[in-house]
Amino acid sequence: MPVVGTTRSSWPRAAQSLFKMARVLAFLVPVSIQSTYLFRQADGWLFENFSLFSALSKPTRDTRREDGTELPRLEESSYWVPRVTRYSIYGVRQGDGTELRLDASAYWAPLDLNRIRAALALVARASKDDEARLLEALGERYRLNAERGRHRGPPLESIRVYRVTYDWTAGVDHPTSTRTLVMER
Amino acid sequence: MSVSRLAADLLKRNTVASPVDLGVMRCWVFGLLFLHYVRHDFAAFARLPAVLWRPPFLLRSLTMEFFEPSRVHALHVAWLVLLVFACIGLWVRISSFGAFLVGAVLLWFENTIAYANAKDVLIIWAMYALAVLSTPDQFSVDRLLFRRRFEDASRGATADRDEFLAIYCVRVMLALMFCCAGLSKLRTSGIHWGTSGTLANLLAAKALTWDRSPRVPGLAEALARHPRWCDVLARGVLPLELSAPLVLVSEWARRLVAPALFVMLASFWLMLGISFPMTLVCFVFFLRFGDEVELPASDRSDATGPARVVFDARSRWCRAWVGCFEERAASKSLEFIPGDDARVHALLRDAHVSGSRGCRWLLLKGPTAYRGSAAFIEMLAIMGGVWRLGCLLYLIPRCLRDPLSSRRGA
Repeated sequence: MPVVGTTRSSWPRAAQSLFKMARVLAFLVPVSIQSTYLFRQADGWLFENFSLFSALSKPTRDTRREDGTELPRLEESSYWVPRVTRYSIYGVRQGDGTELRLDASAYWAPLDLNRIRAALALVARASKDDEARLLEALGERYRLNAERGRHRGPPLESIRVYRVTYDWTAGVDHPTSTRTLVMER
Repeated sequence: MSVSRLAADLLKRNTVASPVDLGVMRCWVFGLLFLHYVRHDFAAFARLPAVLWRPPFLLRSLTMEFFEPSRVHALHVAWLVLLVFACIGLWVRISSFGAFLVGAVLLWFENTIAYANAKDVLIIWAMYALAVLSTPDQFSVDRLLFRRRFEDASRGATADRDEFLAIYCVRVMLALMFCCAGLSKLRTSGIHWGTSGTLANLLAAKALTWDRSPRVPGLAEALARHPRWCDVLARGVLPLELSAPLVLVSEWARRLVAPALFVMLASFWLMLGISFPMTLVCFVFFLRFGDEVELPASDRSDATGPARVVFDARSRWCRAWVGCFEERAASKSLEFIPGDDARVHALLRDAHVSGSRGCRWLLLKGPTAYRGSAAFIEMLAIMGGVWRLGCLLYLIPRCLRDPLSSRRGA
């Protein structure tokens, strides 16, 4: 039952004031450290800038018309960076060997796609052994999550990782993609 | 006036909370952490190749082998047990501190593998505040099990202002988080972040690359087709993030800016599938759950005297509840007084209660007056037995509970 009032010990006054000061310090130290990030840009964890999505999307295309005039700022076509390249994971179905795109978190939980893509970039720069170990771990996650009922994906023969470039120069409704196989296990 | 006195005054004026509030916040934070992480497999991270291990500079000597899967699994189980204990308030000081320590290690370990995710940062500060700055023992099983200890402790005690340091700490970290994010956008991209279609582009990229699973499929594409509207949204995001520190000093900002920030984070999840569930949980530190006020000495009842309940005699529901409890009231040392009684006008004034606020109940117990639905809950607690479970109603934020109770009269 909630009761108004708090526990007070019968500590000596000096110990109590020392405890109080420690508590105020415990408040001030993290707040002060985080406050410094208001004035500087640095990556980290626990203390950081939270700079998610802060980079500007600059148009990669020429923003001038053939006659040399500038495209209006608010014209839709001048907005898009119409291309993005990402690692994309595909599974090869057992039996028919057809591919299945596996870019959903349910297949890999608790690993999220951002972490997997960062991991793929790291192992791509490391050795083939590390690459194989990561794909094996991913295969194991896929199987475990299927067993636990988190997804209904088919059994896989192998996992393929592509570098896929998505292009939507023709508009959001008409995207195209090209891909290059970079890993398979 | 010294700086420390100014700071104390600022803290006091802007962190008005009832002692019950922090206890209920503890329940919500540790309880929701348990629900979120109960099926989370931390051991999966320990099975990844060691090349992905990216510890900070000071901890380079620690190898990933230390976090072998069985050890991580054991830590996870221990964390879940500690979270349950901290949520219900069993051995609350030990379990809260343990939950903070083990949770920080597990979340740090997860974020040392390949990629550091910002979404877990604020909940670590919430655990830190509840475990280190102040461990709220209100609204806890400890209060039931070790009643005598707390009765001795609370005799003559008043609300401890230091407790509210925990609430203020989480609010400050949350405000700094948003402000840093806003400043980061300005520093990296300048004001163009809100004028050059960045948000539209982001929405298009996420939608077209099937990056995540948005809760409202098609919403990101639909918005991406209208870059002008996306820019309007982006121009709203920047000032909103930069104005986050206002929630620390202004009641109005807490009513406007805090909900707007909550909606902004929730809409990331709805549109893009980018979720910050544990950051959303931290907004509980902006809610109020209890509603009590200290009475002037003239209105205080005798410590040994019966608690007095003032109720709105015009309300059918109030009369029904009083009728239900009247028989047991004498044995429970409870006295019911109708609100139109001449004796209670001064009491209502001193407890800042008015009918226009929809306040139908007032409970006076010793030096404290409980108002509205909080008075009703305290009355249920005094009734004892099964009625004591009514205390769980404290888990509903006051902003939802009070309108409901004034409509129902309870």
